[in-house]
Amino acid sequence: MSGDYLPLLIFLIFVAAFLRDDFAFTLVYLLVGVFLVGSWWSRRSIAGITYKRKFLSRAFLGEKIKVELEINNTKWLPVPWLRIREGMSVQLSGPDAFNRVLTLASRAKENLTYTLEARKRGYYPIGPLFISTGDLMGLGGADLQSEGQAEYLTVYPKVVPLTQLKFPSQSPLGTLRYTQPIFEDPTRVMGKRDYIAGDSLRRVDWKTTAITGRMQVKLFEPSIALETVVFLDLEALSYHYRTRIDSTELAIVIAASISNWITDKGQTVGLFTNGEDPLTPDGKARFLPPRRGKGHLMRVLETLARIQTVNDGENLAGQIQKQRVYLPWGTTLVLITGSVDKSLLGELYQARRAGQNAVIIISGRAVGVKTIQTRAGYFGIPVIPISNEDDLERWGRGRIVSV
Amino acid sequence: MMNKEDQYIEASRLNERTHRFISAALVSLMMASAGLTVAQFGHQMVPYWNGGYLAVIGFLIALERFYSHRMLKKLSIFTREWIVLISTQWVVNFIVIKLIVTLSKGWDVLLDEIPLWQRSFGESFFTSDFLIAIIFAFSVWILVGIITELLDEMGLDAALIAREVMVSVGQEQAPPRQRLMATVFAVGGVLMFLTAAARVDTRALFANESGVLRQLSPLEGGGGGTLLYFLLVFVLLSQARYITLNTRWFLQGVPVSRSIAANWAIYSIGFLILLALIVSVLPTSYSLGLLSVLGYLIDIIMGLIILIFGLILTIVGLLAALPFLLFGLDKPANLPTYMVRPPVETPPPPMITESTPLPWLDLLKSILFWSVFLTVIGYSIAQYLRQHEEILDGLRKIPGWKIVAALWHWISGLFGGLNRRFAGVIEAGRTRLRSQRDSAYARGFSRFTSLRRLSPRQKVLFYYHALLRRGDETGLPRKRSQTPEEYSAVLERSLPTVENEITSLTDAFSEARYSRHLIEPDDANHVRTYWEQIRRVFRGRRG
Repeated sequence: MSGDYLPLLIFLIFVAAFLRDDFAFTLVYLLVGVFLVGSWWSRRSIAGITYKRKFLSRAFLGEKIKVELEINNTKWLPVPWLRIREGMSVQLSGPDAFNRVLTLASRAKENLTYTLEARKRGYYPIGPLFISTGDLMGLGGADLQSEGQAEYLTVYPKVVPLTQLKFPSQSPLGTLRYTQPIFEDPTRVMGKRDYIAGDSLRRVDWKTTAITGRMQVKLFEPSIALETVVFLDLEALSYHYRTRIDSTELAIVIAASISNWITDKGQTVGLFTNGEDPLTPDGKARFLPPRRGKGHLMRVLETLARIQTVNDGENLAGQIQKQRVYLPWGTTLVLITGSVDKSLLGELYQARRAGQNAVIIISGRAVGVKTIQTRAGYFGIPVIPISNEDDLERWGRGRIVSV
Repeated sequence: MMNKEDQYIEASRLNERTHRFISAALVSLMMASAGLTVAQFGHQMVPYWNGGYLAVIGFLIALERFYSHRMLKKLSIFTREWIVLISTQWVVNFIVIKLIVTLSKGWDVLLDEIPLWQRSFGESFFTSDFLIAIIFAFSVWILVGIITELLDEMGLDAALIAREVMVSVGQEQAPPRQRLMATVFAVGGVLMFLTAAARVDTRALFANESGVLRQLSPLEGGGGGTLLYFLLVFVLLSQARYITLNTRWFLQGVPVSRSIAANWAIYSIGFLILLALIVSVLPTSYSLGLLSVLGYLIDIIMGLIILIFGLILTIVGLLAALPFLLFGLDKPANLPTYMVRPPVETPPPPMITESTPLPWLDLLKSILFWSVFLTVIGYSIAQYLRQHEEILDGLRKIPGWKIVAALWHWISGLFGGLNRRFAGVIEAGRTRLRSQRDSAYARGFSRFTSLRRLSPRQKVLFYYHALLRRGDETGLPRKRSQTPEEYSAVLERSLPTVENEITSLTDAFSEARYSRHLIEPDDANHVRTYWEQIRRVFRGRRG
């Protein structure tokens, strides 16, 4: 109640008490009624406001997301004015958050629409919706405010299209053609030739032999199965401090692009990261075991969208040691990091000895890449330095990336 | 072509102009109401004086002040131009006021008076009526000037200037809306005083006679004018509130719905009509004083207690006498005969007026009056103190305050407790109904024939129950001791290809089953997708 209001009211009460007159009491009721009914109206109004927010909860980078907001007045009392404001990330809305002032008639609803732009990968809250209203006269004290719940939007990381990646694999049965004829796939017949002494009888094509009258054997295509697990290092200290943010983001783009490429080839891909996932109770990202299919790729991309760097993350070498024992022979371990130390190289060497392959991708600016390449070369582990997205595209086209 | 911001400024200006026009009309009517009150007060003091023309003068002077405000604002005070403008305005005002004052007595009076101006201008032109009118007009002129200035301060132009020069205007002063309220309420207080004074018979007061207060109807003696003034004040405050908010929204760059201006006016009028209706049914008179009402209330409560006590004793007595009655024995000699004691006869309230036909109705009206009146006063003071901590701090230093505070806490705790208990009972009932309905849903899935008829929450529950049924059929039954999470882990081990789907479906079930918040149709659709994938794997397992 305004301070200017009370002296008048007290004066009126004195007059009313002195005169015992209908007129004075009517005025007292009128003055107090404006305050009481106004306050009651505001409280009822805000209590009766509900809203629904509709939007696609997943988006790719650069996409525009249309958000529909339905504001509903569930009470019979109209709402004279209602200010709504959506709290949201600058990365989605720019500096201007969604703001409106509207009026709602009794049991009316208002549909509002605004557009967000997915400018950066992430897991963003849309809202909470801040609602404020007040009385018509401004005598009922401060404006009333309420706060709704936030909903979440996942913006997938950028996926760079890769066309010709060369990953080593030793798994003999698979769907990818391999240039080294070590393993042949009996389901992929490449052609036929005359029988030579020493050929296995299992290779003889009896039908063709009967037709041609000469002994014919089948020729098979060499092939591999590319089972891959991406190990993404998001420990902030692994990256050069000057380019830490860009390098970690690039690492996520690399992981997303490789996963996409492998899924496109119909192969299985898994993801392990030591980053922080806001959706898990302990904040640790869950290991996604190798699976194939678009559905699985979307899960990988969702994890990559949400994931954040950590300052005291678990040692990746130790994590690789724990995880690789569950991975089959021939699996390729793709390690994306900003730096490589002895323990990591040692662990990858052990993986190679166990029949798994390893590739190191150094993301962003790194010190001593040549040395790392040389040392890793002793263990037969390729090291690919990628300092920006152009490098990634070039590497994806099968070109060598220079240090 | 105007850019978006210019268009927005233009729209805001148009809105503000409309409201300024309405404000001018309101303030003019307020001044007319004030004139009416002053005139009626004058009439009560000097019965032969009729000052009805003051209402017309108040209205016209207020309108003129609004009209000339912009022109006056452009000129520096006490400059030549300013003096010329003011002088010419007031010459015109004098003439108009003189014409109104004289014409209020009749056309003939004017015609008779004009020749007299030539003979003795001072005496015939500056009559007492005219001088009163001039004083009133000047007061209105000053007052409307202040109000107009305050409305300007609240407006868009002032806000734009403040934004341009980036200085905080009037930091030491209270906000303009508050100053406007202080001004109009101060005038209202004066009108109230005049109305109250008009109800006092001064002759009887000085002669020391009884019947000092005149018996006037509420609208007589300035009551009508003052009531109208206050009603218009509230409409003006509503307008001022709109201008203030509109300016604030403009500065913050918030788009405002077009219908808000029209709705604001409609709701303000509706609000005042509603309030007038409420006020009209509230009791405004009482025949019993506060202490008498309290006395009667205590008597009634005591009577009720004695009645209940008597009834209990009678029942106990009858039960004690029952064996004697059954076996045909005489009652023990010392068994008292309890009788229902009639409630204490409350003496009828004293008659204040002879015309009151029903004493209990008077009592009821008085109880209602004092209840409403004291609640309103108590609530208002509590609210005020809550908003002014400094006053409360001062009061805490007064001896005996602790007792008052403890009493207040006890009363508020008593009512708060009752309120909470009442709300708790209602909430418990609602929860029971809701749980009955939910369990009915859970039990009744087999009866559902169409999934489309189910709500999103029911759909999620349905899919989870389908998962349980299918799990049971494929040799993975859920044990009664297993939680959904534990069962989910069992299923995931057996069906690793859909482990994510199983986790998501279980999470969705837990949310639907144990939360109260809204489950969106999209969520139910996601759950259906998960279920379809799991079902495919189940089929493969059976096949």
